[in-house]
Amino acid sequence: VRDSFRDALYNSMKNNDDIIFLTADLGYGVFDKIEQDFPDRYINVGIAEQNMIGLATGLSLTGYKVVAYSIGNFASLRCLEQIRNDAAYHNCNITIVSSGAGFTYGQLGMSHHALEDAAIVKMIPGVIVCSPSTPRVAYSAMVKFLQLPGVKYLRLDKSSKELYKDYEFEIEKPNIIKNGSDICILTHGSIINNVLDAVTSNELKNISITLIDNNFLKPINVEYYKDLLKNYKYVIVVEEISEVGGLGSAIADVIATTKNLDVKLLKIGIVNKFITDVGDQGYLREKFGLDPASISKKIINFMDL
Amino acid sequence: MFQAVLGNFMESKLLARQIRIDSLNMTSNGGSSHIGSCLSIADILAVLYSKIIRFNPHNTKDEYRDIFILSKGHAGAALYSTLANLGFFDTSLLKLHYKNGSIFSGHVSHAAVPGVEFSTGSLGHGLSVGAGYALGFKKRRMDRNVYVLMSDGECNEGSNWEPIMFAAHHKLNNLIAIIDKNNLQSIKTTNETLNLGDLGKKFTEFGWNVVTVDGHNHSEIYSALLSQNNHAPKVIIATTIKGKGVSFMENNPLWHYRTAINNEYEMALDELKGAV
Repeated sequence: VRDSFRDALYNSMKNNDDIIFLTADLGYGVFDKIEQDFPDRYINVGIAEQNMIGLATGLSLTGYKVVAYSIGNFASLRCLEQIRNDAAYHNCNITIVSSGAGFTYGQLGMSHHALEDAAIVKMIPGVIVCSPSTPRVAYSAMVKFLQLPGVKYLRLDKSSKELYKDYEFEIEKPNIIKNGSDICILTHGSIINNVLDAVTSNELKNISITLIDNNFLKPINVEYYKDLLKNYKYVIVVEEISEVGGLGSAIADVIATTKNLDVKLLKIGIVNKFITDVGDQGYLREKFGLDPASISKKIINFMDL
Repeated sequence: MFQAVLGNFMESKLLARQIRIDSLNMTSNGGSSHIGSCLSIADILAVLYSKIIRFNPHNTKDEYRDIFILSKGHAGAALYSTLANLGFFDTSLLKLHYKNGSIFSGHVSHAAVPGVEFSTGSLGHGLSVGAGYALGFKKRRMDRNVYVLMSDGECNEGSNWEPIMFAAHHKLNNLIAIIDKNNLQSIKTTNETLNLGDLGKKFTEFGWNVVTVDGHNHSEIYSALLSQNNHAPKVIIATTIKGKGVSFMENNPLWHYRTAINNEYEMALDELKGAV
């Protein structure tokens, strides 16, 4: 996912001199070609995320489209007020790219667990928050975001599995991966691979499932979901982010504010606690209930089967 | 484009006097704080806008204009007054400052006020944005300057020291920071609160050109703004008096918050009207 975002950026920079890339001293080896081919438009600002967003704001106000890169919480929480007051309030064309979503950097510990970032950033008015599920989605999101005014937050992990043959990116567009009639599962980010494994597992094989790759935490297509959820008794949101404030919470809002919607919601996310366990992404996903077996089990229990 | 010609400082002194009177009227009428901060920067704003900054009140997006950022956004009343007096909008609007339904928030906002380039209010944001503008102009080979007015107390914010390093590293000699050094912050003196030490020496060590001036002396401010700025950003450390021009407000942190009412207002207005 990260390489494909990088390729999209490289190709866009090749065709447009108005794109500048900033990194807060991260991405060792990843951006070498960008630095080499566009030395004037690659700036390593140093380990200074607040300054990076302030600079991005100023650069954007001189007409540049800016991509600002760091990892995990550094690109979001560390510079949150700069994102809010400077970049977003002044409607600057800035794409903030945060690599290392969820438990990507699991073993590195609490500081590197990006579990609240997107939920917090999405509270800022006007900011688009995208959590691509596959390399193709990340590629097309990057290309599209450069053309859009305002602040975009692109939350990436390191998955390289591709689900789409071709992908036409559209803001808010839910992608139906699978159609069914019993339950509806929504997800975003690379955890979709675990969801797919769960959906095709023995435990769930007799249930008719709709699976939607939502790709966005904000905006979400409220009208679409109001309509869609009329058809289901159960909706499940699976995401590698705090269970408070993610897509699950957004769907809860839709359900709670829509008349005559008789659908029950199960949020499968990460418990909103500091996690002190050490382990890689696979280990922590399993430990906190996001492996295929846990996902299936939670769905079965939820449906009371 | 407007940029005043060389000459004596009568014009800037009259502007400074008007900024002070307006700021007092605006804060007293609106019931807002920060009159001390406004009086502190009136001379700096007056010299900048009457002699240095290139601006166009008829086209706020003029592509040759310089950029001014009031990083100490709490002194918004002084900037609103400056812009109104230079023709960006009608001075009669200033009486709406801080009122319900007005366009003038206490901390400076660009949202609806013509001529305000950038909204601030949380300290330690302006210099990074200024550095971004300055870098953008350099990359586009545009001869435009960026002026960022900060306060000495604001230098407590660590986020300032990131662009201070960055601007020197990238030789942003089109970036000019002005520090309104009135030695007072919200509650007590800067020395008592978080001692800044020798601010000039710090900036020098960080690779900046440093000029120190009397922040109420127009000729000194003017010369400092014009001084050569080779290969490095420039900081003008302007020693000022918080509350300058109103004897009972001078050097008293109370006037960071207090609104002058009744007798206080009358006395302050008399003092400000008497001065040029």
